[in-house]
Amino acid sequence: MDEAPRAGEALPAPRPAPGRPPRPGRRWSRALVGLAVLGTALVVAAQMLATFFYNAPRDVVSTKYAAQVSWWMNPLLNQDWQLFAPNPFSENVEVDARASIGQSGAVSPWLDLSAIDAAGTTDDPVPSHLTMNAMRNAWREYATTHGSNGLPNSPLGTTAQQYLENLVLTYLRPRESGTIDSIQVRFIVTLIPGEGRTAAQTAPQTQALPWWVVTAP
Amino acid sequence: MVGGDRALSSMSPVSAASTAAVRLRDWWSRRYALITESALCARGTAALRIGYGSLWVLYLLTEFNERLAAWGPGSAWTPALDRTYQAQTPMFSWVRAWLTAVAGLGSGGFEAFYLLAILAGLLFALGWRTRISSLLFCFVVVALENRSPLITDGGDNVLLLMSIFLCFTRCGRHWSLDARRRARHAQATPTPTSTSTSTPSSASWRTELAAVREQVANVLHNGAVLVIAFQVCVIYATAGLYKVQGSMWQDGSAMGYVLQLHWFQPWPGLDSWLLGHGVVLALAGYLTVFVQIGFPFTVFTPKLKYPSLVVLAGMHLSIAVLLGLPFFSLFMLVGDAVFLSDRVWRAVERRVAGPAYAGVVNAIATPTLVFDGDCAFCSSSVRWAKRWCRPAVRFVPWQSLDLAAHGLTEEAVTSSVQWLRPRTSAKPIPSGAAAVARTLLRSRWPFRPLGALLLVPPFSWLGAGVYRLIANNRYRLPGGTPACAVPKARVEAAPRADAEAEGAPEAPSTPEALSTADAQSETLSAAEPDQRSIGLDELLGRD
Repeated sequence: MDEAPRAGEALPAPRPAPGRPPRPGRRWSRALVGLAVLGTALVVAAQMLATFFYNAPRDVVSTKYAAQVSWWMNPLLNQDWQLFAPNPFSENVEVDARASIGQSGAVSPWLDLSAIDAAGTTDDPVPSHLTMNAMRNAWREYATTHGSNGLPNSPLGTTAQQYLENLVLTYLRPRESGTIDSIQVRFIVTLIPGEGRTAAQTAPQTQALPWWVVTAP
Repeated sequence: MVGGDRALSSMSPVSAASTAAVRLRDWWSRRYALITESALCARGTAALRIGYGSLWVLYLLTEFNERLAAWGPGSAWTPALDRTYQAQTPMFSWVRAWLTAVAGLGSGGFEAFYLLAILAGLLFALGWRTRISSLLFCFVVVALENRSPLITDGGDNVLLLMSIFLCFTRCGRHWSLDARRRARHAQATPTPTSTSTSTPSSASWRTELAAVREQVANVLHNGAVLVIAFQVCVIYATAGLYKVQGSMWQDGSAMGYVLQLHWFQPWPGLDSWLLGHGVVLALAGYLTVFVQIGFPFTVFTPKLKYPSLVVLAGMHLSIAVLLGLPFFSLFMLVGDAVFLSDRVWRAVERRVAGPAYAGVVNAIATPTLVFDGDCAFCSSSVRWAKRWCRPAVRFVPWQSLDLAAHGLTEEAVTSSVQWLRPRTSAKPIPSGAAAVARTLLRSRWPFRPLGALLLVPPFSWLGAGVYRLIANNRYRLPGGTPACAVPKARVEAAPRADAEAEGAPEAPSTPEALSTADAQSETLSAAEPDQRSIGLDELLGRD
């Protein structure tokens, strides 16, 4: 460890080694660097603590300081690493939709949107985010913001429903010739067969959502 | 904290307590110097910059046809939805403006933004004015990823976080246009120090400010590197620790369920083939969870870190193929790069640049093989190696070397060749077969795998035995004239020049060969003055 020359002392000719920049010699400038070290250390410590407690299961600390942790992490640093954890999805969800066309009120047959997505991803090494993630996330967002009675149980419920409706319309519109008056969505959830799952459990369960009147043009 | 290294002078080390205090201060001042004077893992962050920048460009290009449906004004996540969604969380107004920036654009504005986003990724990957382009990259990534939050996955999440953290790093120090410009600038003005000594205070103020800026940049960089490394550990630990609570990961059936999900099934045939191998799937699941949980603990020792990284890389590549999430996997994989040490990255640098080129560019790091110049067999072997292997290694006869200054003894150099590198003072100097193997490792292509093989135990023992056999009988072996002493205090030039000089057939006499090499070194020194000015002692000098 070389000794750093103090301010005011006769500096040896400042001959920095090749590739090594000069060090600050004055007192104020070294104080500035020290301040930067202190500030960085504090921010880094806060970031690490907040990240830890944001990801940890609900505990004494994250409950007590929930507001502070959320203030630090949201919206820029929020994160979720629980894909396939604690358990992976073990059911296949088929999203179907049908439309009521124009004034006649003719109802189209059910269209299997998941099959359309599957056809888009099969044998594609780089599938689009739209076909891979959009419908899955829309379903999950809808399912988590709505209770079993079909009513929203979260302030984001209407947003989730509106998004699902818009997304379904992007599939229906190119395939229907008339103007779509209203749409209906249903989820067919099938548990993947496995140990301890009876045939009754793995039978497809259909959840039909109410008809939604299309307001957007 | 500020004057940590000043305290060394005023110590009276009498009692044990004060020696402990001295040691503590010593330790602290060394740490302080480390975080203020060096940018740790600078090559690793450069790898992150190149990785994330180019992956972002690839991502936007693959989504080019879907861009309007995904993020455009007419996407299913309409601008109105985006605004109401972002209004749900409390945030600063400038952050809200940032997150909803793309939602406010018309179709023309959106197209322009999309092109800007591609350009930002390119500039960031190339390292053009990295301070600015990293901010631009962070801006476009955060803005676009928040335009349609419901089409994102974990990979987008990693990218977003890393784009923020990388703004604070010095990721443009290596492998960037900035680095190239700096190198050219340094070549153009070789001695900036002569001006700073003679000019009055304005220039010294400027150098002082530059020094402060340099150190503050290092501090921020090192903090950001710690945050990045911590973030990667949190990702794996969270994923692993939550999985270990799941019954399906416990009984080994999880992978089987994942492969049957229609959502993640780009290759149904491959999935059904894998489903026939339940035992392999269960073991793969266990390995994944174990390594994910263990990763934060393995990063502290290279012996565990690198195998873990290999397992995680395998996991990511299988996710990329089997689940159809290539960008998710690649974004994760690039983040792991922060754990590769600078030594590994320098090796990659050499591998990419080619050994001979690396020797010219990075003359400081060129290692030296010390051989016996009195031995005819040794000298002709060296000539043979220069002619055919062309390694990025300097060959120096020990007779022209100050042995003590390099930690060598006459006994050592007469019994086997020695391998000298800068900054290996702490470790024993490799010699004999190990030194030969390292030379081969820095040679042309057909010799390189041979060198690697000779460093791995069963072959390294064999090599050591053969080397000893040859070394003990080397005066009896043919190869040159018996009186091939090398003149004292003569240092050979860079080996590449020799290799080129010896391309033409020449007389086998060793002194002649050496003198032609020296003549060649004069022409080389005329072309590259700074390379000539670096003496051998400086080359091998310890810091």
